[in-house]
Amino acid sequence: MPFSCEVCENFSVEVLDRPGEFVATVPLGFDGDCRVSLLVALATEPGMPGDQYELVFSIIRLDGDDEEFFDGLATKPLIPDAEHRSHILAALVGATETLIDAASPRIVSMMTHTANLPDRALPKFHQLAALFRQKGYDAREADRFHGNRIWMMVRAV
Amino acid sequence: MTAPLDRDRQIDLMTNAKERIESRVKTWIKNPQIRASLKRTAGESEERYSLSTTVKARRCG
Repeated sequence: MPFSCEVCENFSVEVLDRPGEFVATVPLGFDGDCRVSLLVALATEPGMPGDQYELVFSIIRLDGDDEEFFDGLATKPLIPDAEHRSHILAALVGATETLIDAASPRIVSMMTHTANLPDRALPKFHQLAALFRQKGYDAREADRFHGNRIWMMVRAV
Repeated sequence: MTAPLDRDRQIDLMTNAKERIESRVKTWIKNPQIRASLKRTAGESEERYSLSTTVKARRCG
């Protein structure tokens, strides 16, 4: 059954938080009877200074055996329509902006989940880094390590 | 910009990214509140009450 998309120009972001964690959810649509949603989070890591957060995002297919997707190549069979994928990318950027406003983190790191991603799988990371720049952060990619990529964002003020 | 994380820390984060990110996401989606939020339909937020906690103040003196 084709993916039934709920996001278009408008999307609904809900943020839940507890100390050190801000989790945003966006309902994306349905794959058959299964709910598909976006999860975006800013979270500190145990043992790290409290002002250092990591940005994590995943598309979740919720059913008896939940399935998590971490890059566009993996989600393409689930959400093949380019227009739907474009709306979901906008929702990812919007949810991240909501989290930045909520958490106001001083330092954020963002990493690829999968090593050796091709260039066509990277625009979302570049768009998120650009968003941080728009929000007043110095956002840059550091050197790669065995095909893994990392971006670091530091709030300017 | 001086890198906010030194190179050793960057490498450590990149090396463990897959396992760390998967573990975090699995933990979040098992949380009942986050799961309910993931399962809601668009527009449902406006219908829901948010959770707050009331702490009973101790009587002083």
